[in-house]
Amino acid sequence: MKTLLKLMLLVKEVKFMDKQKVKMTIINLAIIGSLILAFTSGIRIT
Amino acid sequence: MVYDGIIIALIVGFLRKGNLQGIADLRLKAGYIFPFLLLLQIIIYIFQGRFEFLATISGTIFMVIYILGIYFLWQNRHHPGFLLIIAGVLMNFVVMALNGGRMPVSEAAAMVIDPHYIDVLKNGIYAKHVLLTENTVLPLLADIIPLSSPYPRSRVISIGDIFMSIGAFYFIQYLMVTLKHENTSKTNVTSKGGEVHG
Repeated sequence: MKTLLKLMLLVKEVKFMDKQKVKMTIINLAIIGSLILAFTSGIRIT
Repeated sequence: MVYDGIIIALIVGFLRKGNLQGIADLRLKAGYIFPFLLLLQIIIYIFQGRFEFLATISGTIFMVIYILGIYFLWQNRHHPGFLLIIAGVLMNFVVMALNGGRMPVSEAAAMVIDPHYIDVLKNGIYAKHVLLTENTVLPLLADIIPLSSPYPRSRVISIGDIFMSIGAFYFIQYLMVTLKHENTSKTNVTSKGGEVHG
């Protein structure tokens, strides 16, 4: 239920953004994610 | 854990009535370098088992990647949370550098994940890890912290990973919540100013 609520919040948020903003959000999240994944040491990351 | 931390940070950001505007507007200096450095590591993970030469120099390559990463993270240190991320990366870097370019993993802690990983570590190389032994230097900063149930994803992490998690969480909260409030305040000031002069 909570997950559904969170997903709904995300969809609502994305719905009101223009395509360029959505694209930049995805790119920036990918950059943040990759910088974290690249330097974390947790053994099960690959 | 750090990867999960980003998802948790996004969810918490939404629950705190934040938005994605700050993330969309984010401009990291040389941000493109981070996916490239990750890709480079993945390529090494894949091929180090096939080419002995690559396995031999992989520790050095990891160290070069970390140094480059720290340099570019430092270029972005003005972003909230980045100093914590840098501290975490530095901790991982130091312990790896002191142990041949690979992150030592505690066998006892690794018991929480698939024993297959321990076998692989004992018999060869896996990703950027090596089994922690009595000869390991600075074991405190190695992968010694097991995460298991009730945490949904069993894994072993380091103190540096925890610092990185907190830094990333704080950074995303800043982008989603704090920046939104700052922008809202600026907009209100501008419109009030307009009313006065209008």
